[in-house]
Amino acid sequence: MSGIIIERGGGLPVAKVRWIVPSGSVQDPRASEGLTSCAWLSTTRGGRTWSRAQLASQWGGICRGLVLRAHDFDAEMRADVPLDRLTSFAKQWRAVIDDCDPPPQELELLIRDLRGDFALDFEQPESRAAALCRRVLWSGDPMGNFPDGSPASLKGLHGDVMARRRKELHGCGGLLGIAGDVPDETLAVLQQEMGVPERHPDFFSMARGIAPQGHRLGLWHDATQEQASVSLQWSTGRPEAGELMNLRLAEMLLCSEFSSVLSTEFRQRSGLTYGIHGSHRLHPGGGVFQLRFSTDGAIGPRMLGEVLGALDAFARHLGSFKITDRSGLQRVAQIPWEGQILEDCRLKALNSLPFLVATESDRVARRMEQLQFGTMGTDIEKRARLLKEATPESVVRAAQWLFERQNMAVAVVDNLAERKAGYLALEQWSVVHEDGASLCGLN
Amino acid sequence: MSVKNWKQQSLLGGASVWETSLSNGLTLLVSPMASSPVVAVQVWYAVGSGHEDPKATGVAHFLEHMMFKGTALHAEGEFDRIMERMGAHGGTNAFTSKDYTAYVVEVPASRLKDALRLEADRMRNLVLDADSLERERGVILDEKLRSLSDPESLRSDSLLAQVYKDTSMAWPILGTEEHLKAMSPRILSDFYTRHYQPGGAAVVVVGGVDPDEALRATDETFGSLRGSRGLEPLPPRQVQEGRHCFKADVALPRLDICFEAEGISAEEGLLMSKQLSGSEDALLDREFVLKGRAQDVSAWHFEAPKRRGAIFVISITLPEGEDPERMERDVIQLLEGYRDLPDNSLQSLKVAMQCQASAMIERPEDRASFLGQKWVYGEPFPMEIPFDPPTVVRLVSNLPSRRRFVHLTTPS
Repeated sequence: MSGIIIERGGGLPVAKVRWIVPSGSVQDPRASEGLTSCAWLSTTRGGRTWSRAQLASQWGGICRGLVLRAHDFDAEMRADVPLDRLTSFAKQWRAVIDDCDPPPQELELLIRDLRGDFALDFEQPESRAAALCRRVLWSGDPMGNFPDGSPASLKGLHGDVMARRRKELHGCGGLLGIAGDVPDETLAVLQQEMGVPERHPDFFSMARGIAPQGHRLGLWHDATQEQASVSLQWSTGRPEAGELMNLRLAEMLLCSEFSSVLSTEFRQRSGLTYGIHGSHRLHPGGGVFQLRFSTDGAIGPRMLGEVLGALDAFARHLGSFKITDRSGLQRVAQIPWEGQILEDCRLKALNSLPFLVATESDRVARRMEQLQFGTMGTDIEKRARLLKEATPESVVRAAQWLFERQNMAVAVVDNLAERKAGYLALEQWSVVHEDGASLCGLN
Repeated sequence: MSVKNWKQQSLLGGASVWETSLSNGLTLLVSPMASSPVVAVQVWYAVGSGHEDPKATGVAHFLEHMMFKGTALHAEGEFDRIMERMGAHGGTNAFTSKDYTAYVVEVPASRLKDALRLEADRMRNLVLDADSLERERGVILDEKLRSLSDPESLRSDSLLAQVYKDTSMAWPILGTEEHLKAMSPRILSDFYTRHYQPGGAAVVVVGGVDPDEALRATDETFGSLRGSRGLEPLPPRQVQEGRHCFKADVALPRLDICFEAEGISAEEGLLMSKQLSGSEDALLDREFVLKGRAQDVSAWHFEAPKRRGAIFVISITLPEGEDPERMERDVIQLLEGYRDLPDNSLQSLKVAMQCQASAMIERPEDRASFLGQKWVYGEPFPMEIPFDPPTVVRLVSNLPSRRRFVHLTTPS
């Protein structure tokens, strides 16, 4: 059963099933972005024997919350399945894959649904800013693909291309994670019917040279906005496993918690924003740091300037207690982070370790992350040891690595008629993209 | 110990809930999860934006923000700092609704008493000073701006404003900009003193804790608080009949059909919503989404189950070219003609309810929120979700005969 990750013991009559295939949207050519997603989603859109409605009815009697999604580096299927329906679930999945051949009208409908979802998602200015930032950072690189495609790319997808991609996806094995009290004999059926390989797939084979484009600004003019929605992203490269806890502490210190330095400065002390939040996300090829906030449009440029200054203070001056040249940042640079605040972060990180493995689902998630991203899985003791060993110097090194923003992209969604100059004046941007809507494939 | 006797009840999925109250009127609900290393700690106040004065809207939500400021014992910022040091999962959080305000946190089970001590402190000792209020005003005005930039939030506010016109349910939870700008320590203090009383609150503890241990910790931290007021009645609701067209910066039109839902319990509402939407074989999905006539469909039961003025809402996002009036007619016709549950739907509904029951109680924070809501609305804790197909059919097919309001949001 080495290809299956299982955690038992919850005592619930329902199992949570997650199947991930090591192939994702980074493999879509830009002109066909969304192809992996369309191919994967089309699995449930009917076949030679069953219509989509018949399939829906069959699935309904077996499981709930059936979701298929494509991400950058994997395609995922998950569902909640009553324990006594698991065998039927596995057989149904096998039958659906063997039979899959959606009629053209279903594929047209699928593409229309994805275009509609895109439009609904882009109603939110924060979502638009994050998408634009991704596009700007990874300009010309498949990492910039939107997994579910863009209105422009979806127009060009056809059934035969999807069928080829679907065949690839269903043929490349996968990793099955199950949280639930599943007997061994049922696991054997799952392994056989779902084609779970004896060995875990190698997600890192997809890792390759990625090429972020640095110091770029993307602008999206929206006359209806009174608020500026701002997203900052940069590629961090691949951290060493032993550095993960130092990185976690640096992230907590700056921006991942309510009492972090940026939240304290810009929300609690200044009242400039409802929230400013950052996080470092790993992928098999490295990592991306993302920071986002929104604020009154009139003060957007000023706040972005201060946030950039804070990042510099962390990346370049952390540990030296120099006051930066931006007056608004004096307090940030003066915070005696080496002492109490670092200890606060260490305590918080240590005390929150039990949450990583609190439920069976949590433990499955940690073990799957370990295989996908090289984290420490459920090894809480190792995490605790590394946290205890972290020193101010090791956290400084991690912060310098994490907050080095030479490959940074910034995106702003706002009514820019009067405010664009403020953003342009902030930095020597290497490239400025002024038409966010076009860059995101909206036109 | 200043407490009355435990009342123990069974809950969904073989779980149990223990209920008692302290002599000061504070309710305690405990649901143990023996294997869990963590505990969800939630304090529910049975007061929300529906209890506000129409001349000072937004005060319940503003106060929710101020509860994270200082107290007589802890300086500003200390609450979050201490909770985070304890390992609070995902930090601290709170939410305000029309009927209630809840403060939620998850900590390692060994820190239960420390978390309760902080909650008890801010129930009684909150400091509402002008400086911190001024800073928080900026944060809340920014939150208000965000909601004004969010078409989904605008739609939801417009919907409730129209359905509950001329009642306290009509105004937005965030309040009006005018009232937010006029908010003062005095207004907040009056609301706090009046409503944040032990008798109007429940402490909910779910996770790796023994009920008696939770009771001891709650009594030691909250037991000495005194307060005379009990539960406020829920704000009165009155569903309007009619229709309203609202223009917003939405990508696609959205049709909301709101039915008055008096007499429908939370569990019945859940069964109805699962039968109507949420998977491709649900009635509305099958009829409209699978046939390409809807982008998505949802059916949901909005607060105050069983009571007069509760609503059951069917929301449909329409693709380009779909006529809203025709859609409305077809939905009503479909509901009216709904006569029986075929065998495959019956099986599907059983699976849906089994999965739903597990989802409600699997994680400590979800179970605690479930219990908190039940307490606010005075509903019994269910041992199981009653599965009665004829009742579902009757309730669904009777929806069109109920008072209804139709709200259409179209692109501006």
